[in-house]
Amino acid sequence: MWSTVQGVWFDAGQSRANPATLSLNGRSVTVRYGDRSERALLAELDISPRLGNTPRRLSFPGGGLFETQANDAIDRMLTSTGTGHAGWLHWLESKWHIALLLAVPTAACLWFAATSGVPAIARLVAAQLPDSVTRAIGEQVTGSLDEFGFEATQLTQRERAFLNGEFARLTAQLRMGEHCELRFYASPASIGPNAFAVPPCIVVFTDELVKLAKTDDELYAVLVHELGHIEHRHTLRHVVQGALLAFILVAITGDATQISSAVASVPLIFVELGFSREFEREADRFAHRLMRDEGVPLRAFPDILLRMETYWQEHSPFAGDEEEAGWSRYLSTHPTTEERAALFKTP
Amino acid sequence: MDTALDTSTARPVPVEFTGQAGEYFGVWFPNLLLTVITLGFYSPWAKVRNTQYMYGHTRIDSASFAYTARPVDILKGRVLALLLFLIYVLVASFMPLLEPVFFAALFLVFPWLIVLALRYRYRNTLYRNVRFDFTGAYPRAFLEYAVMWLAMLPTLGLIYPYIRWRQSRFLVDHTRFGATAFQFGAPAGRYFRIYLVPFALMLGVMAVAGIAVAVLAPLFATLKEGADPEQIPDFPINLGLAVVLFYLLLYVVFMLITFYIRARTRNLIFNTASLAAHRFRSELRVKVLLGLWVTNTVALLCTLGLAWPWARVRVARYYASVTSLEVAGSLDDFVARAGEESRAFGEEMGEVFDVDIGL
Repeated sequence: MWSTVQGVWFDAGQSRANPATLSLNGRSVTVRYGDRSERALLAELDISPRLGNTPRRLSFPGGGLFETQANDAIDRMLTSTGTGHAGWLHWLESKWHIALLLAVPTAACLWFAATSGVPAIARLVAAQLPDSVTRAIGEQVTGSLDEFGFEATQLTQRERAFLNGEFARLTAQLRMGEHCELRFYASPASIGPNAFAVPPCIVVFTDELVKLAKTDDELYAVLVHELGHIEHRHTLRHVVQGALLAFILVAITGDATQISSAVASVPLIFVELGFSREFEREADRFAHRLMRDEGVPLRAFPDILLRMETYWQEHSPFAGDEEEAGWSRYLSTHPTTEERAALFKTP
Repeated sequence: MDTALDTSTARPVPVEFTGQAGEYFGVWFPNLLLTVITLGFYSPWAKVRNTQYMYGHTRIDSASFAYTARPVDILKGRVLALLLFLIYVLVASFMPLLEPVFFAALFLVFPWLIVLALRYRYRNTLYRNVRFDFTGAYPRAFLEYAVMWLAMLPTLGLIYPYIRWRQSRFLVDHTRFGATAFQFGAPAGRYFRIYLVPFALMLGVMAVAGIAVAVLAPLFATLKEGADPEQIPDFPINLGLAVVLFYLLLYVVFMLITFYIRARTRNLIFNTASLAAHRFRSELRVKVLLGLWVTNTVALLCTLGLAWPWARVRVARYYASVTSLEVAGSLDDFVARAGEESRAFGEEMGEVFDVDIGL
């Protein structure tokens, strides 16, 4: 069986290009260039795998190199002698529409892993974190509040009394541990009436929110919602989820950095915001259950939500455009007020 | 090198890129899919395959480049790099006080990463059976990439072009093709000239920003006090739109500066460098780079990233088309020199932390 291939020969470590002919005879190959020749067993050669129509390199044991454009001839040579083939990768690369078809289930699996797998792992990890770590995070957050313009509370002891009492009673009743603390701050204009939960067990109310509330029931509603965040360790889970997602993203797109920044981060934002809304729903359900069990009028929760929303419509320089509500749903950290209010209409 | 020294026989030899978007898509996409399916474990193989495709289609004097890195090396480097990245994410989330320590360590390690990355990449770059090499060592890299930055503060940053010049000189002078070293020939003064235009542009943007703030600040003030929302439509411009437009302008100016510096620096380095008696030519144009960037970004966004091979091939083809060699005699007379293997650790570390070596 005879076949010849045209190419270029380079001696070991020499850049001189010699036009050459490679021929196969049985299991050995011979390269002829000028009046010289080089001989080796086909099995001794290091043949670069086929990659599109890039030149093929056949490295000889002595360091010589035969380079050729004749990819098909090399493939035939390899197949006919049974020493190899173009490679399964080249097969897949030349049938890339198969890969395109497989992309759909792959994307679905990935989406499922990111939206269901990651939260499940984060829940496990957050539950295992030692108290010392969660306390360190809490101190970090509360310590940075004055950088954001939070100042000492202006509320009187009497204005704080109801929340202080309820907080002590509820955290004891729910067995939330000994590090629980309720704090009040006068907040900067950009934060206004607000409340949030900080791990391990700190709830922060702004003076403005306490003043905005018309009844104690409304303050109670906000308090139990924040306790829901603490009960379910939302802040910790959020941090762990963010780290896991970043890890997966880097692992997958490590060598396509240009894409990762432009395109891959877009679904990531949606997934992250989806987590955030799910946390709010979970805290709402917690608040709903507690209010029902303790006989607090459920109306108090949507009442305070609506009042906060009205406050922001009046005070934001970029007051919300109602037309955009359909889209902004997906870009919001919280579910819509209507959706949240609906939960509290059910008994 | 008897013929090589005779410059009268210099002939221009173009750099050609013969890759096709369709063919490259066939290589890129299955490898991307395999990477995703294996949650990233396959990515070193994909990287080698992609790079080899680009190298294999880059030709000078009808001989092509080859990328001979071993995926297993890269996998080892990448696993280590990812572990460090994970530690970094955890440190940043849970112990933010330790973050400066982490960055201080990075400051010390960064020059070492550059040296390792270049050595690994060059030693695995083959052209006409002769390997490239990078012979720079850590102490000098530490001087150029760490110590020199300390001069920024006392000189109010005016020394920046000189620092970049020293870094380019370090990189070029320590690059070898076989036993032959490249020679850096750009004068430092030309680097200062390159940075004049970006400097003027930045001043211009600051002036625009200053005017914008001067105009907008009173508007915000009236908005805050005047609780009458009916007034808003009477303002001459939509505030939100103005802010968005300003950021867009800032981004375009930033990219313009980036491309300007890249094009002018590369042209300068290439047009003054030499390899034995051979010389180089580079005629990158800022306008074309900007056009490629805009069209590629639009295409990538519209196709959710699937246009990536098309974008990459276009850029490679443009870079090749403006680059050429002035070969004195022939390229036949280079010889290899014995080199040791290099670990992949540096290269992959650089990638994970998005280090741009910029040549």
